[in-house]
Amino acid sequence: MDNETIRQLKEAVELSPENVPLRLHLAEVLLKANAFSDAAAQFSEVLNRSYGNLKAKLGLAEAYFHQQKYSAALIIYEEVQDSMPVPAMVLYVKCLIKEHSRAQAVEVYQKVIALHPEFRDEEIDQYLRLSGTGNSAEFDEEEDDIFGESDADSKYFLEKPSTKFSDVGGMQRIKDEISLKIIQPLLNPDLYKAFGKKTGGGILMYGPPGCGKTFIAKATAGQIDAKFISIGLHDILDMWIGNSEKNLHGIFELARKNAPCVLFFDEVDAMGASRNDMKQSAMRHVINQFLSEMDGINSSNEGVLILAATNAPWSVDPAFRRPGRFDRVIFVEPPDEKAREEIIASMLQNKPVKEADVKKIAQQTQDYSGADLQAVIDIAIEEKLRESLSTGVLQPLTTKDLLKGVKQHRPTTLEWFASARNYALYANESGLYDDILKFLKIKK
Amino acid sequence: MPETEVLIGRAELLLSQGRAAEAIKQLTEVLRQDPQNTHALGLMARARFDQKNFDAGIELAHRAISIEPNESYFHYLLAFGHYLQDKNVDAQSAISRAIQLNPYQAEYFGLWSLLLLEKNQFEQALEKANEGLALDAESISCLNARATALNKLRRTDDAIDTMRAALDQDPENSFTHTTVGWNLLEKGRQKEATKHFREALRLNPNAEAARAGLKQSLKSNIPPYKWLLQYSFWINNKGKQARWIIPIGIYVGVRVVGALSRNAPPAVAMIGTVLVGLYILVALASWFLNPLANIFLFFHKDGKHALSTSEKWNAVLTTTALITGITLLATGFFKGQQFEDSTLMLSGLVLVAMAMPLSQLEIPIRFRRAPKMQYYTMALVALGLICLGFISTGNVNDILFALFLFGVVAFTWIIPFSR
Repeated sequence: MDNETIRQLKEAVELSPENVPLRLHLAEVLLKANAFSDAAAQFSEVLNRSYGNLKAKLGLAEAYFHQQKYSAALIIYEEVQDSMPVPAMVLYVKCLIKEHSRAQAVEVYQKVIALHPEFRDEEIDQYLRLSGTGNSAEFDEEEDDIFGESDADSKYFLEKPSTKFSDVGGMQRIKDEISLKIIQPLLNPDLYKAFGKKTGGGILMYGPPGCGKTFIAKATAGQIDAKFISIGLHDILDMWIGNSEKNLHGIFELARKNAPCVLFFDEVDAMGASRNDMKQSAMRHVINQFLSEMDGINSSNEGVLILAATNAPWSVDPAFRRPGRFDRVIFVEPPDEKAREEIIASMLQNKPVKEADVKKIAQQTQDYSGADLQAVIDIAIEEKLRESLSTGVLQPLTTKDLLKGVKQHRPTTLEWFASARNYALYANESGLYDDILKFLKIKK
Repeated sequence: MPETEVLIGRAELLLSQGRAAEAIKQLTEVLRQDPQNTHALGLMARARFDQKNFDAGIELAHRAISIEPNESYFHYLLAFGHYLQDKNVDAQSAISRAIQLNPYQAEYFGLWSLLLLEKNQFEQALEKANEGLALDAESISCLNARATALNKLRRTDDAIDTMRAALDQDPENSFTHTTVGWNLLEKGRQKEATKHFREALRLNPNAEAARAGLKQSLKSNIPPYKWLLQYSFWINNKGKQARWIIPIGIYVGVRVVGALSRNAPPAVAMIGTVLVGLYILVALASWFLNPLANIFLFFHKDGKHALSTSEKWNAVLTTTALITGITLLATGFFKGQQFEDSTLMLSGLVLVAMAMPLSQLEIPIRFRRAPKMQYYTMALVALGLICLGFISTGNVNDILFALFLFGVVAFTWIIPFSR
């Protein structure tokens, strides 16, 4: 369909605005021409005039999907659940994946498979079945085999981030370190071989909460177009409780199978933090398993980049820091003024803002982490929402509102630094925390 | 949703890793599924204590007790919470109940012993610690309590043996090193004490008691400060009444001596004057020694970081006020000026007097929700500054001046009792 057709259709609709089938046709044409917001507008118009029109509903949902308004699309799909054609169901599954409703996505996808046993979709397979190698026949078998908790493969969420280093404000030092230590060896293996530099090992990032440790790990994956597996606190704890170091092996295997892959352990100190010996033996198993996986004794870790983050580096088992393991330990500090400016500006994008002096706000938010800045903006927005609701007119955000938010939300990093300062002063034998001293401008 | 057992397992791990907030999340989920789960209630109480939210923790301990009144551990938790709150009477009754229900837990006796130490009942404390050690010879809390009790009873050799035993048991225990440090400090062996406090801080950099000890032990290197510290140890080991009676007794004694020596022959009067002078010196020392000694810490590599913001400012302000004040007074005196007409001497007096409230001022200054005494302190400092302003322009406002001096004198009497 070319633009000429669309123009003509638009004219026709303008002439007879009550002609529902005509308008529906226009909307569908727009959808095909990838003019999603126009299409969405037309579908809504159709729904205004003929309430409950299934075709319009599905079209609107599809338009929302392409505009990445997944939750809006989900609402529609949930309404029409029982009378959906297969293509719509596939989109429904994709929406659910985007919104992280895994269980529901699996359920719907199984219905699709039941209707069309031959159906394959690369993207969905990748998310729901992770390995992506299983054939569709498996779907006829017991659900447990594919999606069951017993299978380590399916327990952990594999994703392919699109975030790149350029999306991360500031943090240049950390980007350089990561690049030199783990990205370049992957891109230029020969160069490293020529210098006899052993590749492998990982990077341990530490710092106050909310300063972008997880974000930069994800961006690392995006930067080299690799997959990303994130292992959180609860996953680590459950390894202890179930005493199932087997799971740990599964995770590493999954990463190896999907190389290049960034394997990210959040709050890694939980793996060996306990100072009392109550669970010492169980703990050792998990740690030893982790270390031998990291050393790549039984299988090569080629193409697997290992990153870890912690708020409590002092609790991380020292064995983790030996050469070949996490031999780079990087301090991720709260954003400096310039980085704060960038962060605030990007957070205010697409929000109703009237003359926000980003520079001034950045100046007054010393020690605020990225998460703190988000909280400040949220507070300001809530206040404005309340005003807008009572006056009935949309009130845009101003510098004053944001500064008021700054007053209400104290930086959360201070508490962390109060504790970290003591570690840096009294337990810094190997100079591990010199970066903290430097940041706090303490001279010993 | 995971089963309660998994959640409790997680919570236990989180708690042992010092992540109280995360543990509470897990436990809240458990209690949502099963509000009568005493195991979760007990863990939650511990997490609240970790967060220093003692009231909430005690409330949870009570709830656990109401469900399972015969479980000794919950009574122990309750006692522990009251102990942390310094409510020793409540703690005492809870711990006796716990021991009544289960007389075989060394830790219960350890806590009891610590409670008795707080009340200066050293003999009984020693007895309870020994009972606990009979159950478990390796109980760290009993060993610590026993060492402290022995030290207070002046059985130094036994105390040192016990401390060695405790350190042999667990050389990496910050709590033990702190106790050893305080015991050594009380014995006047500040150099060794410093080492133990330093070690305690290395093991647990956030140990407040160890940091306080480190400061005291470093300052004890200055002899007058050491004497003052020994005096305060001595008076604290006396009963509660003694802490009031002794200073007042000394004050009254000095007044009597002063009054008597006025009508006495010159030789006796001389002794009286010296005594009164000494008393004033000691009284002033008790005010200014701490901030002055803190100045000394500025030049020590560990000491300077151990001071809080308030302590640093108090030290600087008090010392500056004292030195300038005394210099002004001395200059005026040597110039032979009359006190009432001398701008130098009057402002010197105001500065010296201002040093008292300055040594107690909390910095950064809070105007809202500060303790009552802080408002008094701030008012005195402000009044002092106004007086200085008047004096510098040459016309002394007698009323303000008198009000200020009277305020400072009253201040010196109120402060010791407001603590």
